[in-house]
Amino acid sequence: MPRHALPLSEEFLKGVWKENPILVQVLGMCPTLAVTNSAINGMAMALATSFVLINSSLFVTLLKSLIPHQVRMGTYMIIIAAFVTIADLVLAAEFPVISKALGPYVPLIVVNCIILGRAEAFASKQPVGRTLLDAMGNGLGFLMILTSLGAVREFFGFGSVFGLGLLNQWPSFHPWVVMVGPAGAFLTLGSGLGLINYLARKGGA
Amino acid sequence: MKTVLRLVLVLTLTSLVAAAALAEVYTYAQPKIQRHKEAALKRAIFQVLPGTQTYADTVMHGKTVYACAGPDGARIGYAIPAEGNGYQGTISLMFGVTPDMRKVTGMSVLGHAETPGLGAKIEEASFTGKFADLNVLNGIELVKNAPPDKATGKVDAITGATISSRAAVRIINAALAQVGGN
Repeated sequence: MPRHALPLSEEFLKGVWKENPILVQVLGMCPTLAVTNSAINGMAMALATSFVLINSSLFVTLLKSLIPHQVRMGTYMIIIAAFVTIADLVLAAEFPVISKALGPYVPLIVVNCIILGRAEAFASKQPVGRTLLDAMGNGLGFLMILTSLGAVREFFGFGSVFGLGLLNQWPSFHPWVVMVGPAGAFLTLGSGLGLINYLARKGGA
Repeated sequence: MKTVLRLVLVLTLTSLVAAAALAEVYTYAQPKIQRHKEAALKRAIFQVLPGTQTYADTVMHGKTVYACAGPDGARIGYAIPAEGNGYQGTISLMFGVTPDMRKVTGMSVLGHAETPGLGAKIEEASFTGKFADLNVLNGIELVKNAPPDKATGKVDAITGATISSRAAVRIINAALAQVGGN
């Protein structure tokens, strides 16, 4: 089946579920593990990444016929790095608290495999419309997972979700500190990946 | 030759456009980022040296400190920024001292990477409050399983976060020694 025969809705949805960047492609693990200690941090990180992903994919697909094959990686990196710097500056100017919480992980979006992966595997070969749908789908898939990881870790580690007190309103609540530390990221992501893949196998193929 | 020229041209043009776009974003963002930094600094100074109306930066034994004045313009003390190693990364903090450097008036943690829920407690009022009105004639001493005493500069460590507590005390002591001229 030729690649372009995919219906447009599927082009968008594949990044959300079937080819989810985290659950299936297992790309972009660094921010996934590092900044999902609260729901808001996970969401902000994913939004910044999606901004870079959508914009750089758009520019790569628009310029694909002009970029010589030999320097395509260099050109993609310039485009990606420019959008990452824009995201970093705008975050620092408009949302200083979130910018401080994400720290070096915003500049590190530049080496996020999802972005270069989509540019090389998809945007450089496909028309503009499909590329945008693909980038938005992957961005949404990334957003969903990072936000839910953050929410789970925040719930157990701080007893709240999006800063809203839930468990910590209970007087004998004791925070499960390991969940907001690096170990909690591996525990949560590992259990989540296992559970989802188990359910998918059971239900689907 | 023609291919090489094309490669150079494409890369140069892409870089130029990217640089121009970034310059534009930078001119918009930089003043705002600067303002946030100044606001954070101001908040920290007012917090560690209550009663401050105006402040000016000055250099004392090679260290930039903020000389603070009260409502009547008289000097009420110095706010001193300091940083050093914590348990996992750099801890940066600000503390206030009286003009004679005998008493710390307050402390505020500006940035850290300590363990959430344990070492991160150094930024909470329950810990920073221990530095308010603390006699530091002989430096600050961290005590464990002993009563803290503000008159003799004794501060007790946070349970489960001795390393972070010790780091905060060490950073302040080092900065005090430096501005004291030792």
